Amino acid sequence: MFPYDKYLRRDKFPHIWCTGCGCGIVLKALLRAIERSKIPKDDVAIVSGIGCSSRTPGYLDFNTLHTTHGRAIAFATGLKLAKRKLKVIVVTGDGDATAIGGNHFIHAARRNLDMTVIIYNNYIYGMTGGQVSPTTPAGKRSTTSPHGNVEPAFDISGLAIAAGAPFVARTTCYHAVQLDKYINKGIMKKGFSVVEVLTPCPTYYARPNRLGNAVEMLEWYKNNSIQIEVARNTSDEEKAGKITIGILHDSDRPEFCDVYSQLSARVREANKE
Amino acid sequence: MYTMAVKARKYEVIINTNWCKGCLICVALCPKNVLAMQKAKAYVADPEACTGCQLCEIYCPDFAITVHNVSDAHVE
Amino acid sequence: MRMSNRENAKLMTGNEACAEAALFAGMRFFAGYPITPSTEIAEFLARRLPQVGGTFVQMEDEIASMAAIIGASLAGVKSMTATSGPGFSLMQENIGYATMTEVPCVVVNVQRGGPSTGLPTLPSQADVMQARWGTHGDHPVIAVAPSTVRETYDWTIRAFNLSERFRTPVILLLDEIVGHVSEKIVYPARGEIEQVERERTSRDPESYLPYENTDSDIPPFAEFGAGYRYHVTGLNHDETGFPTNDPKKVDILNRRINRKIERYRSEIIAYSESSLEDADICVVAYGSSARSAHRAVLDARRSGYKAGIFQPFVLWPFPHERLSLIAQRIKNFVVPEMNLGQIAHEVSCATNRNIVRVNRVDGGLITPDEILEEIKNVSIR
Repeated sequence: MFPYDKYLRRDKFPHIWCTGCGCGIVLKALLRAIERSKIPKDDVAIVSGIGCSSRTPGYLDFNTLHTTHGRAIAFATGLKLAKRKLKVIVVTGDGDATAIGGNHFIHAARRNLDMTVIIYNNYIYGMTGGQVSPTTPAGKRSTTSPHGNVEPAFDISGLAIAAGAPFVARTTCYHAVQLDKYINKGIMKKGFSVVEVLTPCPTYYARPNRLGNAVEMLEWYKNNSIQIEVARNTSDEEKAGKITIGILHDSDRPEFCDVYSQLSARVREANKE
Repeated sequence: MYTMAVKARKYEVIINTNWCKGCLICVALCPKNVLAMQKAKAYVADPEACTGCQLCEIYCPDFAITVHNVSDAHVE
Repeated sequence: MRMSNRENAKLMTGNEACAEAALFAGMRFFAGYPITPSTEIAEFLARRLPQVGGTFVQMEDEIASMAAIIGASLAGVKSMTATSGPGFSLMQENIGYATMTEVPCVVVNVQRGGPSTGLPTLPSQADVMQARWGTHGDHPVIAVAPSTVRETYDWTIRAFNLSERFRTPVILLLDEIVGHVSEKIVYPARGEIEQVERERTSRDPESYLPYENTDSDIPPFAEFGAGYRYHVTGLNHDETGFPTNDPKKVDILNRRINRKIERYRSEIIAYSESSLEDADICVVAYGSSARSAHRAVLDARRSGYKAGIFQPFVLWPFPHERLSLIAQRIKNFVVPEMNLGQIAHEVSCATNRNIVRVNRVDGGLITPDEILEEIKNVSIR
């Protein structure tokens, strides 16, 4: 039995997420990852924006900050720069991170500030009742794309890599054990780490699009994803329509806090002369 | 001398029906069909079959199911 | 005016004075975004902050800047941002967040011609009402308006003191003139202006309530990462910091965060008065308009008109009480502003007297003669 209780604010349960919502699965993976990292609870800060996934911090016994829509990463930037010892983890949704929060997402990736960003990608705006999001697949229905979504979707992981994030992994709620490994890797990595998790939203994504319940969605993830190692030597036809999962990018680059500390040291040194 | 080991139950699955929202994930994922639905909530239909694989606990979005080693379970 | 010795005086602009005073006040985190006419504040701090162990970051926009300084302040570091009209508009939602979560910080608005892109290099005072009501919902605000480079220095420090004392964002309203004018400034003597730190909790983590309803209405602070592990949210919340829709608790919070400033009005409000004792005309002026008003009153006196000046330094909360007292004796008020009468409106509410507005919205500073003209006209009637 995993000691989730060690990290939960139990008096806040049962949580608000809908039946079969993947947020609970991702939250469990996050706690397993934090447990494995052995980082003391006092040094962990969980920052979120607005949306279903952004209610996560309220349930967790850490320094928790529930900010404004799309701005979690910008708040986290100030928090981290002001207290470097904090292990800052941002939990955000596809809309929160790449619609209203897109500007902060790409710039924090560019700066390579040390934080782990977990994006619960459920393809929809859940909290506000099922509107289309930047990741809603073309053709899919939502309350604001009742005739089918005509906009192409973002590839969040691709966006993160292009913006300069040194560690980017994507997986799904079906691959829950793999998920906690990626989150842990992101936490232990010094730099801007992104873990995109495809998360089932039975209520506002699956139902209007007749994709079944949570079990069927997890099933869908299983049958429609392909590990990147396998994908590398699979023909395009074979992997057409499949979502590539795994560690999509893992490199190293000077981290912003370090770079700024070196700058301060250099400036103070020069000041002495 | 060889004595037939009585198959003692090694794992106990506990369900918090206040938190369980009946999403069927645990029932679907359990490799030994230990779990089933009763009044829209999960319940342990066949406790003996449980092999302690913890899949139900890992996948339960509601933190409503926990798998205990029998020794711990009694201790609690 | 004390004789200034060499090293205790310096020639500098208002923007530079603001930046240097912030460092003196203990500010060690600045996040900002370039925007005329405030950019020099960022430029100065980009150079100085690393020298004093602080952190400067140019964020991707003003929304991010406001978010970042709240994050830094939650980590226990005094923080500031600086902008002008367009950026100030972008910051409003997060200024509201800082008000709701009671996180101390200072927001400098070096006002320029508006609306919209307006007159980037020219002054205005037309963001005064935005400083009061820019963000949504019933909320308190403290906004201060210096008119000289030395006043900017002093009021930047006081802005930090007010934000720390009351756990609230404080808006420092400059304008392009105050920001860019170079004046000799004599530094305050050591200890002349105190340095206030937010009250920290003395409770242990188990019993700590981040938004405790204390007698003072100001909850003691605990910084992130110091073992308190509490929750902060912009949602309406109770003493524990967790969201609530319970009408009673919602009412308590909404009234407390407003009462938290209203009840301390007398401690916060600050103004100067001169030649009002025997005056029959009171000029009410703030910020750079006050510079011209002081000269106009001087000229008026020389021409035999009994004019005096009331200069508020704290615009919000507005000094209604003092002005209504003055209005018991003085019937005529002349209010020069580089907007269409935003503070004049408050003066008329406070005094119920005849208000003569001297308004310029052409990017130019109101001249002493324009004010003198109105003083004369009002005296004839």
